[in-house]
Amino acid sequence: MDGTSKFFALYFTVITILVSAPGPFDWANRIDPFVLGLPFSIFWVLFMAFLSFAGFFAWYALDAKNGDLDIR
Amino acid sequence: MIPVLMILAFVGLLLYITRNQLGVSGFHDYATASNTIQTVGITFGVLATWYVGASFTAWAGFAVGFGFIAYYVTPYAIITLVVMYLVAERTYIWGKKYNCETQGELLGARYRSRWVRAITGLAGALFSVPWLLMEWWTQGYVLSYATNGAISPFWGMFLGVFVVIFYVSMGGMRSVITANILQGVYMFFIGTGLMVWMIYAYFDGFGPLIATVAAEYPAALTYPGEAWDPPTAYWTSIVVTSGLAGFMWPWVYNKLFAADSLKTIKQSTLLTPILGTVFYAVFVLLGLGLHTLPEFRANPQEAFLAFFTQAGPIPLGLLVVLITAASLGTVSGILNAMSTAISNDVSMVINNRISREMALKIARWTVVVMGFVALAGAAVQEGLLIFWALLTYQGMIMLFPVVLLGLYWRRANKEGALIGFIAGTVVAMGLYLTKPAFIAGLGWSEGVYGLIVSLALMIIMGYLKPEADHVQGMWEDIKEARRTKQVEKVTDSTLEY
Repeated sequence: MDGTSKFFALYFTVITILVSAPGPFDWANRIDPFVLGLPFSIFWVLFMAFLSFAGFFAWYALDAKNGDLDIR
Repeated sequence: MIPVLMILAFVGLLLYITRNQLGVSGFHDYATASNTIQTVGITFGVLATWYVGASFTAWAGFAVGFGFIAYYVTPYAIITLVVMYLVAERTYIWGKKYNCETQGELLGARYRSRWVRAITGLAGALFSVPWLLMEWWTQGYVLSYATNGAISPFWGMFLGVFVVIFYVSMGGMRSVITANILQGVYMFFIGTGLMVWMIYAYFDGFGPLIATVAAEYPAALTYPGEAWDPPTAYWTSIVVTSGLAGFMWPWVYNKLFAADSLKTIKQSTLLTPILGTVFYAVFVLLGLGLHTLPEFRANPQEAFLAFFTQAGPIPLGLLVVLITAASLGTVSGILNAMSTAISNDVSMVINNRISREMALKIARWTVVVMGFVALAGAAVQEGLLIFWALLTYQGMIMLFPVVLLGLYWRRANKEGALIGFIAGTVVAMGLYLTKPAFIAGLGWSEGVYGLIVSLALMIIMGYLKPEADHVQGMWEDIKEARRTKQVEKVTDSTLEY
């Protein structure tokens, strides 16, 4: 696995821990405070999804810059 | 009558669009669309994995019945896309080099093992049967609601099965992708819009809906919801096992072999999570709204259909078309993958003198047989459908170490893959059937224990034997493709193993 893939594998592992593991998820699993009109639990899941979108775009951009997408 | 006409119009439109694709040029075209699918097709093809017809029955049942827990799909879908991104390069390079048409064939080539190919192909097909069952059940209720009860759910299933089996057996992968694109476009734009409209029409908007739930049913806004109390580990388990297994389904994985380039596969991970998250966020919020209404909470699997029936024939028609579109897209993908697994990975391994024409015939008949086997199961199904889906992931996750270690760990060998896969599956299914007290007590699902066993056995077997002779060459394939940006196909179309 190359360095870029290792970095993003770690990035997404951290997001997975924050959104699902006992401990971080228990902390987020509550109604208050409401954020953007959403209960905190739902906001937390959607916020992690947003960080994931950003991660995918960055991963793709780095792969494109390194020429790793041009294999045909 | 209006909903029925809308379904007929949709199916007619789909058949019109695919009229030139009903009839394939051979097995390779049936299985991979001759590697011609571009970003939009792969995006919606992958998106169709999570947003199936049964979303509006099985998953709606989760949202309406329990509330927040239904959001487990959002993180799990993202984990699945990370797996997709990680496996894309090597799958594309080896798939192209060794002319692989299915996931089983790729694994057979990596491990140089007919048994790995046959068993992974067979497992993918068998674990997919409950998904068909859920889709048939859903189709039965869709047609029953669409006809205001004139067609019973059983006969509704029967009619739905005929349409889908005809569509898939004649069309192959290209028609699967076309159905997925149509489903995806309809689902995202009309489906999301429809649900937003219903939320504003019946709950006065998102804010009032959430305020009502928070005031009357606050437990529905957090895990695990009302009337049960699984530990947090259960949430972790369903997110992680579904996420890691999500890309192991042959009906998802095989779409990589249909892509026209590596760039296409990776581009599809950009749009898929955004479309999926927006749609699903609105979907669960509507489910939460229905949770506040006792008549829908009493029968959560039919809540969406019953609610839209109250809203009138046009909203119901739009919903039943949405479900039909999702179901057609999903079932066609499942049946295509099942048929290619049986004809390519199982039959051709048992008897490698089967011609390509015979393989195509076997694939088409497999569609018919599997479709009707699942129909029999759907007719007698009991309990909440969502738990059928969660069970299949407990088995399918055993393929994850076989795939990921196979792609990234040189020492991974066929003995480890076979022993690990079989032992892990036996552990997971054994725990499911015997239901020991610690499963419910600790919260970790059966698949987690099976995965640990499977991973451990693969690693132990990897260190017990020296690296296989062919592995060096396969790793050289990757380096060569990165250096030259080209993949040279092997001249002999079948590997000897």
